[in-house]
Amino acid sequence: MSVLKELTKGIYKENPIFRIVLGICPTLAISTSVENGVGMGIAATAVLVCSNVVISLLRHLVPKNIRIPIFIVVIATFVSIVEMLMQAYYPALYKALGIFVPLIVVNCIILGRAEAFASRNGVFVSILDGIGMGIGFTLSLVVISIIREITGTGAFYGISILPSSFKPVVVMVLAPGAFLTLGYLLGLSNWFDKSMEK
Amino acid sequence: MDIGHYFALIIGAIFISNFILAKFLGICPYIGVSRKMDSAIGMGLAVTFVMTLASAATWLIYAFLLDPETNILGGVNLVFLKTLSFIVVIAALVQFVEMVVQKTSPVLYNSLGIYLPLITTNCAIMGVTVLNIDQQYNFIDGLVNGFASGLGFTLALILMAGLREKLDMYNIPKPLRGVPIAFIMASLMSLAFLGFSGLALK
Amino acid sequence: MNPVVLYSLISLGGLGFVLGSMLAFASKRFSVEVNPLVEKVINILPGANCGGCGYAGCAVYAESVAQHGASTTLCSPGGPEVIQKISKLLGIEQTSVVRKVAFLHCAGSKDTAKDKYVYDGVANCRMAISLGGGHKACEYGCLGFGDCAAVCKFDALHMDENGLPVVDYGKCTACGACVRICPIHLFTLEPDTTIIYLTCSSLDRGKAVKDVCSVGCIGCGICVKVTGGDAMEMKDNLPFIDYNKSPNLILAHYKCPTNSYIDRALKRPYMSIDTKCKGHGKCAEVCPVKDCISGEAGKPHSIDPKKCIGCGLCLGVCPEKAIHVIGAMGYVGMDMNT
Repeated sequence: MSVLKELTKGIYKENPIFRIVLGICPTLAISTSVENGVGMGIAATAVLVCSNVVISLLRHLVPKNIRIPIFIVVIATFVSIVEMLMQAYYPALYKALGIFVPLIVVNCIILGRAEAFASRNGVFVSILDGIGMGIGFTLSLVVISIIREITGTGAFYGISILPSSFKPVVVMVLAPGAFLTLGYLLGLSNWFDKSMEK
Repeated sequence: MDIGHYFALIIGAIFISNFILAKFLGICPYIGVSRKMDSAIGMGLAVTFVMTLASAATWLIYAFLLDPETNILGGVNLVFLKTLSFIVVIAALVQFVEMVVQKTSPVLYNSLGIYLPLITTNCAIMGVTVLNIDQQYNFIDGLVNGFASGLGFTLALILMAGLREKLDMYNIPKPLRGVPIAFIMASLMSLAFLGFSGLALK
Repeated sequence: MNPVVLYSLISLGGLGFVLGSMLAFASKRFSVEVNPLVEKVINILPGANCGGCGYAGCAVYAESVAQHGASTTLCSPGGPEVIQKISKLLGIEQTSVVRKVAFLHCAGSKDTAKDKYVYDGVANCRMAISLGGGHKACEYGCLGFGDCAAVCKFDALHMDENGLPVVDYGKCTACGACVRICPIHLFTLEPDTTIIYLTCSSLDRGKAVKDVCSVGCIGCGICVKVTGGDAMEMKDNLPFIDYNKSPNLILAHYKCPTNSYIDRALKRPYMSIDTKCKGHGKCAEVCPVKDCISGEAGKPHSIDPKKCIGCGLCLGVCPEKAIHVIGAMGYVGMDMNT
């Protein structure tokens, strides 16, 4: 179990959005612009790593049948901290992400990794797992955001890169565009997976 | 009692700001449960029930414990505890509902399967409680909003289940089978619901 | 202490206490006793969750059997072995159960049945039937798109090149999925010992049937007459057969003017006359096949083995008991070890 493997597994093999299909709600809502995507990705990664550490430290002390509420309390605490930090230092991002900042608490990725990994492994590995999954999540968010932002507004990270003659497909930054992009990307990932198997 | 006001609230929650198709809240059960009509209806009703109760419970906690202007703790600002206290209340509520359902209706319990405990991590429930506070609804408005949002969620689930049952009979390209085609269908449904966004009810 | 810290500790602690007590109370008041017997039954069942028992999955059936007295014979994929084990576990006397398999009651393939229009739509039987009852001219005929083959969990149904599903009798577990999904209701579950069965479900008669299918039942009733007994009855221009009564359908198969019966046996035993024959000729009188039994009065008779259909009518009438059965049955797709 090498450090590099733990860090990179979240990018392709165990990509939380495209492979495990978790954390879809914020993915669809946030990916309207690359800036938002990066911001959410970093916030979620921070919460993931911190909660993984605490849960891994507590793993021998927590009774089996009340472990889920305890995990949720730990995650909620870190989400509240991240929320307050974001509100203070990045108010524009906080406004753009809206209710999806407190909703990081119910992001299935974080609870899922806590249940599947952090509660069974040591602290160092859990940190790596958190970073790895976080990187995977952020990269996937960025890929979706790039597609949506460029087709929907002709800009990348706020900078116009397509000629002004390009009429932006506004629906891409709205709800339908999110579903469409994710649907096709999931199909692409399935196809890629199948052709890799052969 | 201004009926018009509540009517606007209900229509808004079900159509204009549909939780799944406009707000992206509650996607995981949407994709997971919408394969069959029976489980879709069961899940939708369970979520509506929990949403209504959760809206009431969390609003009361916010008003009496957290909000500095109205709490009973002498004006101390505990707003930062919102996320934590809400999720704890929701988790307890879902666990409670699960136990009651398991005892009183084993048939319903079996058909919902693992989805009942999964309602805890359903963004829709947490979302509606936080939205009620953000939009500064009073208790009744919050309750109505919670209930109506649940109905909107159920509506989207039922529509999707009906479509997906028919979809089984078609020959879809292999990579798109299952979840991807469900998302593409959701995008078309969402496009349709986008038409409601111009509706403004006073 | 800072009032914020104090009050947050108090309010969260209080909240936790209230919620915890509520849950503790609920877990006592709404506790559900899990019967260990249910767990044991679940382990015996095959776990395919096919729904053939009529319950929503193996777990639900296990609970019904262990706690609500449901019949222990409902799991057909599990077969007699599973039924015996469950009955033993619950202390119930179990008589032997007959193995059943699925039979398709239609032979309207591309060669034998006509279409009433060219269908160019979704290749799905349930969809095709919504267009005026399907593209087959016979409204009781198989549409051949294979909804049944797709739903079979045990790999026992495959479409052949004629457009009809073929049952693999060795693999079929009689779970009933094909019976439920066929929109024309062409499948039934009958005992595995059924060798000859009717391959038509048409309620039309005479010319109306002959116009649309060359192997359809025209409702003449000859099969019921020659078989006798109480297992068959003509109803709505179709013989209704109770296969559980194991009627001997060899004559019906032979006499049917439209070949509407299928014989699973590749070859059948034939009759042979030995030297005890005194030439009474009673066998020739009852033999349904022309020129099968030959011989002059008073002289030994002989049976042409190629013509003999093995109906056995001659066996009973010979006064000298000079006729025996030669050979064994050869089957298509049957597991000879059962």
